[in-house]
Amino acid sequence: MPIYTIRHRTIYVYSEECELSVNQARLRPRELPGQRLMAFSMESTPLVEDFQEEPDFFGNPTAIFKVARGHERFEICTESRVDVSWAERDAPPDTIAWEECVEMLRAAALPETQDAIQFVLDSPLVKVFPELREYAIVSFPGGRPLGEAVYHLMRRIHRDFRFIPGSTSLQTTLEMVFQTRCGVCQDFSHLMVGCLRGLGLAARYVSGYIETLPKPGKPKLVGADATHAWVSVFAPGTGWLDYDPTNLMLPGPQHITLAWGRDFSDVSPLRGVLYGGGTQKLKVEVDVLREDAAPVAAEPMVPAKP
Amino acid sequence: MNPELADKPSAAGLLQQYHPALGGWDEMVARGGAVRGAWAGLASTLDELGSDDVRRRKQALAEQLRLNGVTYNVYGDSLGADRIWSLDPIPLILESKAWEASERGLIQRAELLDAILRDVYGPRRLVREGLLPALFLYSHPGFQRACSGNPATQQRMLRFYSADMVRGQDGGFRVVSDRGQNPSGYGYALENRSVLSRTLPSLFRQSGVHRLDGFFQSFRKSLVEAAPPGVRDPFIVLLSPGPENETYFEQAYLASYLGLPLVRGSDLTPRDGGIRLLSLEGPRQVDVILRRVDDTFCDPLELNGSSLLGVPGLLQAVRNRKVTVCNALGSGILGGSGLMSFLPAISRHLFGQDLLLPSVATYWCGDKEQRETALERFDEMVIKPLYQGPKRSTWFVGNLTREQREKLLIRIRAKPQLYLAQETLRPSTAPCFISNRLEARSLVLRSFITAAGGSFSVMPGGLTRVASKEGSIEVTGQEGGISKDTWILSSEPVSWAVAPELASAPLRPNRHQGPLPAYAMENLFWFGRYQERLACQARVWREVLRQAGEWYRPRLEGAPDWIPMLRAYQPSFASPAGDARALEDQLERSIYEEASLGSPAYNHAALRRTARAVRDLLPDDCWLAVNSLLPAADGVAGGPGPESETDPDAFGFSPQGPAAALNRLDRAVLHLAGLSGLESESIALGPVRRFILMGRNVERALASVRILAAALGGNLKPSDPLLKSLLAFHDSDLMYRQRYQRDVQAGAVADLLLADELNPRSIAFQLARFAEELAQFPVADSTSLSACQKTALKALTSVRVFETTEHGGIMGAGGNEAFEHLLSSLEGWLGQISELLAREFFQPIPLPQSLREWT
Repeated sequence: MPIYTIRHRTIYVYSEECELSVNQARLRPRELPGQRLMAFSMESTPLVEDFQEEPDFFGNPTAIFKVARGHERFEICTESRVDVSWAERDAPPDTIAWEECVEMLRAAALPETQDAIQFVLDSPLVKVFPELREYAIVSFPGGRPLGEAVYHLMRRIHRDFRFIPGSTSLQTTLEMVFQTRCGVCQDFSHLMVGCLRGLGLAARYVSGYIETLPKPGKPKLVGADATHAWVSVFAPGTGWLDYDPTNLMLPGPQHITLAWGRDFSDVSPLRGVLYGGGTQKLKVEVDVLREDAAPVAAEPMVPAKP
Repeated sequence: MNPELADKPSAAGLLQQYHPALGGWDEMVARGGAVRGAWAGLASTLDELGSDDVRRRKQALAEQLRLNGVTYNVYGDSLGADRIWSLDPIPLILESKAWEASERGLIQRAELLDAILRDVYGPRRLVREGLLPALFLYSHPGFQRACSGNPATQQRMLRFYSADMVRGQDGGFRVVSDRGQNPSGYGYALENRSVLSRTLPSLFRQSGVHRLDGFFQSFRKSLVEAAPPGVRDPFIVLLSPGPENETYFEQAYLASYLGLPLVRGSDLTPRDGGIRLLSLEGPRQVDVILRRVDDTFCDPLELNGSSLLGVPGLLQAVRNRKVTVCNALGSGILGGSGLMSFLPAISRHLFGQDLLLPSVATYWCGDKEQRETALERFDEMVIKPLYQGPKRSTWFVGNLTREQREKLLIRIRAKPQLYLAQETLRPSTAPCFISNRLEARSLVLRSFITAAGGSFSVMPGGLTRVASKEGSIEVTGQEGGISKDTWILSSEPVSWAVAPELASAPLRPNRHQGPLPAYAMENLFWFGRYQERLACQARVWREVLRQAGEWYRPRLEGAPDWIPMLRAYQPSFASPAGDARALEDQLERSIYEEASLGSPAYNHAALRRTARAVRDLLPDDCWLAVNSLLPAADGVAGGPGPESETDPDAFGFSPQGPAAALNRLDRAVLHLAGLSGLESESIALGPVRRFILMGRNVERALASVRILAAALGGNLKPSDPLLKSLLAFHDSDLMYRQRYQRDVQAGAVADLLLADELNPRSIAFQLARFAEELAQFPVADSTSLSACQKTALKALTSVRVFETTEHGGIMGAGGNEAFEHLLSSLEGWLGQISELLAREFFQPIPLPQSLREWT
C-alpha cells in the first residue's frame, strides 16, 4: 500500500499591495475507504487569520480564511501524508446496462439516486450541447454494461483529443475544447462528464493528485507535477466508478483524491477575493513522493500526465 | 356615508359610464350592477366630485409624487432616467371580513415557506420523503449549495415575505407568485397611503381604513429579533445594490423611515469572523443586514465571483452566527411560482392542514404527469421559467405566433425541469381613473408579511398594481405601471392615536449621527458640488441671456465675448454665427439638453443622481427642494404617468423663448438658494453637513477660477464690458457699487472676486471656509496636517499674499501674467483637493478582485 507525502505550494506575487484577501481552499485530501489521511499541515506567509475548516455541500473539507495585513506576496504550502490502499485495476467492474442506470436515476427512488441527480444536470462549466451527446452515444450501444461503455468512451476521448499543456484557460468553454480537440486534464474531464450527462448519466468531476513517474533512468522531477482531475460515474447498485481520460487509466493506487463536485467550479483548490493587489502572478508546485523506498515494480502503462 | 347608497345602482356621472366586463369579478360593482357595500362611500364621493374634480386631484397627486421624488428605475433606460411612480386616485377597497381570511392564509403560507427553506438547507427530509423531487431542488437556480448546513436553519429564516395575489371570477384570492428573498414594495405602499390620504381626505377619514404604521413596528421588531445570539441591541444596516437599482427609491425611503444606514457592499468588510461597516467613525460590527441584493450577488467568494455588490466572506460570517442576513441567503428558492405545485402536499405533511390560501394552478414540467396535463391545455397556459432572472420572461401561450409556440415547446421538451406552466386566471377588475373616465382594469395585489414575536403579521393593506391596458389580464408591475393604494376597512373604529412604540430599555442620550459610509461621504460631497455648479452656471447663463439682446441686435463694436466663459461650463458651446438670436437659441437649448456634456440640463441630472444616492441622509424638505427644480407637471391631463405624452423626467417642456428660459433660470437660482438654506438650517452639525459644504466650497472656488481665467484669455481692456458680467456672475455688482461708487475697473473687480474675504462669492472666502470645515475632522496625528489640509492652506495663502493692486490687478504691466499663473495654480490645487479627499475619505479600501485560479 503506497504512502505518499504530497507537498503543494502556491505562490502569488502582486504588483501592488494587497490589503486584505478572503480565501477558500480545498487542499485537504478526503478520507475515503481506500484513502487514509495520516497527517496534514498548512502553512502560509503571511499568516492567515479567521481560519475555519468545514465540509462543503459535497463533503469536501473546505477551509475559509483571511490574510488581513498588507502584503505583496502570498505563499501557501500544504503537506499531506496519505495512505492509498485502492488496488490497481485494468478493467472496469461489472455493472448493469447503462440504460438501466439512466432509468434508475430518472426514477430517483433511493437516497443515492436522489443525490446523484444533481450530477446529471448542467453545471456552471459543463453545459451539454447536442454534438456532445452524438459523440458519446457511439460508445453506448443498447444493453452494454455501464462500466464497459464508459471505458470505451474514455478510450475514444484519449484517442481523439490531444493533451497540450497551456492550450486552454479557465475561459475556454467546453464547446471550444470539443471543436479544437485539445486541452489539459481539466478539459478532458469536463468533456467526459458532459458526454455522460448528455446520455442521462450521473458524472462528477474529481480533483486530486497523481503520482507521475520519472522516465526510465531519470531522477523524479521535483515540483514538476500539478493538481490533476478525473471523472467519476455513478452505477446504481455498484457505486461511483473513477476514470482518468487524460491517462487512459482506471484510477487506483496512483491517484489521491482531494475533492469532487459538479465541475471545477465546485472544487477549485484555492479561490479568493482580494482588495488591492494590482496584477497577479501565480506559481504552483506539487510534489507527490512515494514514501516506501521499494522501487516501482514495472513500467507504467503510459507516462501519466497531470 | 349614506348606507342607502350601497345597494342603489350607480347614478349619474363617472359611475354611470363604468362598465366592467361581463362574467368577471369587479371589486366595486357586483354582478347585478349594484355597488358593493365597502365601496359605497367612494362611489358617492366620485359622484359628488365629478370627473373634473377627480382630474384635478389626480394632477395634484402626481405633483405630490413628483415633489416627493417617488421614482421607479427601469433597467435599460438612459442614465438617471428615473420614472415617476404612478398612482391611481381611486384606492382598492376590501372589507375586513374578506381580508381576515386572506390574512390567515398568508400567515399559514409564510410558516410553510419558512419550514421548506429550513428543510432544503438543512436535513432535506422533504426530498427523502418524496414531497419535493430531487430533480426540482437540484435544477432550481435559486438553490444555493453554499448556503446549506447553515446553523441558522434552526431559527426562522424567512422574516419578510410577500405574495402577489389575484381574485378570480369566484371572488376567492389565489397566489400567483411568492417573494422570498428580498421582497420590495412596502415602501411604495406606505408612500401611496401618505399621498392618497391627502388626495381624498374626507373619504379617508370617514371610511375607517386600517393604518399601516403598526406593520412597520412589527417590521422593526423583526429586524431586532433577527440579531445573532447574545446581541441585545443590534446594529442594523440596509444593504442596497446602489442608485441604479429599480427600487432604489424605496430602499432609501425605508432606510430613512426605519433609521437604518443605507450601505453598499463596498462599505462592508469581513473582519474577526463577522462583518464591519467602514465609516468615518471607524469600523463598526454589523449585527443584522436587511438586504436588497439578490442571493447570488451577496458573496463573491462563495456565490458569484464576479459580483461587486456583496461582501466576500458574508456567508462565512453568517455561518459563524456573527451576523444575520434577512431574508436568509438562499431564500431565492422560494421566489416565483416554482414550489406551488408541491405546497398542498407539504402543508398536509408538515402541518396536517390544507392550504387556506390556494395558488393559481401551477404545473412543474419536470414531473411527467404535471407536464402532460400542462401540455394538453398548452394554449391556456402561462409559461414561466422555474427561476425568474432579471429578464422576467413570461409567455402567454395563447398570444404567441405558431412559430414562437413551437420554439417554446422545443425548449420545454429539451429541459422540462426548468419550466412551469400556470393556468391563466382572469383577475378581478377595479375602476381606474384614466383619460377622465373610469376604466375597469385587472389588478394584482401584493401583500406583505413580517415575522415577529414567534408568528407573522400581515400588513393591513398592500400594493395594488393594475394592467397597462383595459381588457388585458397581464399585470406586469416590474415595468412601472399604475399602482393603487389598498384600503382594508375596519369593522371597528380605527384609533388615530399613534400606536404605542415597542417596549424597549430606556434610551440614553445620544448626540451622534449614525455611521457615515464612504459611499455616502463621496455622494454628499458631490451633491454639494453639483448644487453649486448648477447655481453658478444658472447665474452665468441668465446674465448672458439678459445681455445678449442688448449687445448683439445689431452686433455692436466691442461686444463682450462670453463664449470662453460659457465653454468653461459646457465645452461644446459653439461660437454664435450671427446675431443675438443665435446665441439666445443656443443658451435656451442647453437648458433642456441633458445629453450635452456640461449643459445646465446635464448638471441638473447629475445633481439629481447624487441627491438620490444620499436620499436617506437628507431631511424631507431638502429632497422636496431638489425635486422642485424639475418642471411642474405641465398641462397634460393627469400629469405625468404612463398615459401622458411627455416624458416627465426631461428637464423641461419645449423651449418657449428667452422669457421662459430666464424664468427657469431664476427659479433654479432661487430653489438652489432654498436648498442651501435648508441644508444649513435642517441638517445637524456634523459630517453630513460638512461634506455638502466642502463640496460647495470647492465648486464655487473652482467656478470662479475658471470664469476669471476664461475672461483673462480674452484680453481684457481696462473698462471692458465683461467686467460687469463678471460681477453679475458672482452676484457681486451691488457689493462693488457699495465699495467703489464709480466706474468698474479690472483691479478692483479682481480684488473683490479673488481676495476679499468679506465677499462670500470670493475665492479666498471659499478656500478659508473649506479649510475650516476640513480642520473639524479628527486626524490620526494631531501634530501634522493632512495632505488635503496642506493643499487647501497653500491655495488660500497664495490668494492672500497675491498683490491685486500692486500689479494693477489683472491689468498692470506683468500683472496679467502673474494673475493667470495664480489662477492656473489654483485650478490645479482645487483638483488635487478633490482627489485627496477621495483618497482620505471616500475610498477606505480598493475594489475587490478575484484571485487567479489555476487549471
